[in-house]
Amino acid sequence: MRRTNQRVIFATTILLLLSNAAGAVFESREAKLQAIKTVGIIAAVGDKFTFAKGGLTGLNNSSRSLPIGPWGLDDLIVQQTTAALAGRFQVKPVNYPRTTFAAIAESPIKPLDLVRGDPFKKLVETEVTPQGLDAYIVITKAKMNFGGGSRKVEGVGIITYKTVLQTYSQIHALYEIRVVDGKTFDVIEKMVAPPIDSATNFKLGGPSSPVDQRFSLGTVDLRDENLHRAVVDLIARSLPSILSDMHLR
Amino acid sequence: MPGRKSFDYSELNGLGDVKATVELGGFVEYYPVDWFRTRGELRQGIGGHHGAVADLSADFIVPVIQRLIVSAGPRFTWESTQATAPYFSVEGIQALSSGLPMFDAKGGAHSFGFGGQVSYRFNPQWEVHAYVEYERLLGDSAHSPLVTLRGSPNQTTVGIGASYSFDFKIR
Repeated sequence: MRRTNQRVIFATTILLLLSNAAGAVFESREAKLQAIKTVGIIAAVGDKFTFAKGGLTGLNNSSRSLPIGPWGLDDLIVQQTTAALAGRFQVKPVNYPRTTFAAIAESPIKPLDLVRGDPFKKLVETEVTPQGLDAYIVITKAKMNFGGGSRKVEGVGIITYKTVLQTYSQIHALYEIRVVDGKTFDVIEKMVAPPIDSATNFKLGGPSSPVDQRFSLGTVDLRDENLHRAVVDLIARSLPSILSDMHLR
Repeated sequence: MPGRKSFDYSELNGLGDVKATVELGGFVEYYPVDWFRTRGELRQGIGGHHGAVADLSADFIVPVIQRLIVSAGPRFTWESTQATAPYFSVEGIQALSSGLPMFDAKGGAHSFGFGGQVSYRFNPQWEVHAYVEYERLLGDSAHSPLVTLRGSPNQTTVGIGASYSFDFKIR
């Protein structure tokens, strides 16, 4: 009986210590966010449009990318984020090499990312001007699995998924937001934009929506205004909710 | 792995119990294309056996519709002597009490077979699946008197299951 009691006390102590530690982390993050007055916004999401294939593909299922810089998606993201945050923060314009931020890729071996640390910390410290703001909001491409298999999709694009009975195409704008401390360059908060409609987009954990199959690889024309509009719609619908989820507005 | 209780099956009478085993290990998966998965798994047993178990498998993955996926392919299992012996060896006292001849089971190729699965995803969190696995025992596992005199080298397993995926982030 005494041993059982000792175990209960030990388990309770561990639980209390863990919950206190978790509470301290949340408090610290919350306090850091509360202290932020001035922010700069960095966006590097929309440099290319990627066509990917999944499901019953041929032997060559590599993806293909086309440049979409003229769409001005990053400027749009900066504008919309500025408008969303202006009520709470003083948003300052910042200069940064967009292509350098867009070129950062995750390691295919996940644990390596944990070891090497967040790659955007260093970039914000060395490549962004002006320095000295309280925080920098960094919005970059996210990469995620499509379905349960190995297929990964990233940033802006379309994935066409072939099954025995049907073929589906889904347009996506996958991005993540970091809040980087302007003094220490630590990542205070980081979140991946979630799906807009989780009931239909169950294969992709980010903003996406079904599109007509005529937009699949080989037949699409990037000058098609509907395509541009669909991507803008995904960003416009998802951005306010993720900023709210991060307690930034 | 659950323990093996000799009183659960008359074929095991006199062989004694084997404790439950926890197998810890890791796996590697490689998809040359979306519809073909290869997988290797290596585990170390703790408890009922203290051996190593390696599984190799390949699966053709056929999405019938977006939510319904059928997959099937070959299987192969290798086990070390420490993993095989507790289940397939018959030691002196066991031989006396069970009536089976003594047998010293060594490790090596354990089984090959074929498995298939049907899975249906309701939403991002919930999925249900049903599977069937056939394996043919090999090597000393197949030659053990427990198998040759009281069992069969042909083993079939069927099952159903449901899974819930949790979404959490590591900051």
